[in-house]
Amino acid sequence: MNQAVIHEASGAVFAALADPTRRRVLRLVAERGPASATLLEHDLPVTRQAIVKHLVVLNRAGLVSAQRAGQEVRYALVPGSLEEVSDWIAEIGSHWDERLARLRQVVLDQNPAAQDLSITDSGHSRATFWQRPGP
Amino acid sequence: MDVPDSIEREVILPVPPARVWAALTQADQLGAWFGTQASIDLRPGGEIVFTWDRSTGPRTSRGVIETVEPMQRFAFRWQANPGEPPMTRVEFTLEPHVEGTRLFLVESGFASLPPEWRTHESHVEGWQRELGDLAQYLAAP
Repeated sequence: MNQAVIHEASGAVFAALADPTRRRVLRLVAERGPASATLLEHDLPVTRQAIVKHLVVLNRAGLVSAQRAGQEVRYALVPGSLEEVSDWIAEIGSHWDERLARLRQVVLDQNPAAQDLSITDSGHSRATFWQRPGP
Repeated sequence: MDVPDSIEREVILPVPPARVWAALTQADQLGAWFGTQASIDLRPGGEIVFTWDRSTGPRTSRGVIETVEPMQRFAFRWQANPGEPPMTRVEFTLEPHVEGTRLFLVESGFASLPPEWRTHESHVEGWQRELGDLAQYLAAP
């Protein structure tokens, strides 16, 4: 895919995720499935109007879909919409793996006796932006 | 379920903290592992600049140093140019370890990058270009 397209799309997603309340809204939508602003209001310390505004931003960023159901609008997580961002962060993470391997080499080059000791990874890198629900 | 915004790594390096500190903060050593070349003004507010040689010509990334605690903590924030929005923060923490040094790396702030981050496309592209074939390493959830 064209890099510029990725950056453009991810930029909108980052902007949408910049607000902590909006991240909570997104998380709730992901957990509850299609949900209206009224339903989400029970679990958030902000007004329904504020929730609607956040949902509109998330919708414009392509993170949630909106579907009218009678009097209300129900919002749902768009599957895969966070993947570009999580992939981007994962790429930066792998870049760090590469850099740290080189750092190890640099410090070992000046201390050859220590070569048999190995690098370890804590294994809890937070490389994904979102633990995607489902299978 | 959470929306984390950081990359975290922990490595044990079989050399004393002073040795690791030098590799993190001295220009000639930084150039050997972080870029092709580096320059650093080691003080809070000082500039750190990395240059990578590419077939298409040199590529540069800049940061502003935020924390300098010798042998313990070193942090900077990526910033393409003075006056432009700062981006993510990179922090190294060193601890003495029985085998040498425990080094923590945290790059944080991804979730709160401002919309303007797109203007730093060349910077981001620089990161991505560095990756080569390693890009998929962590892509799986």
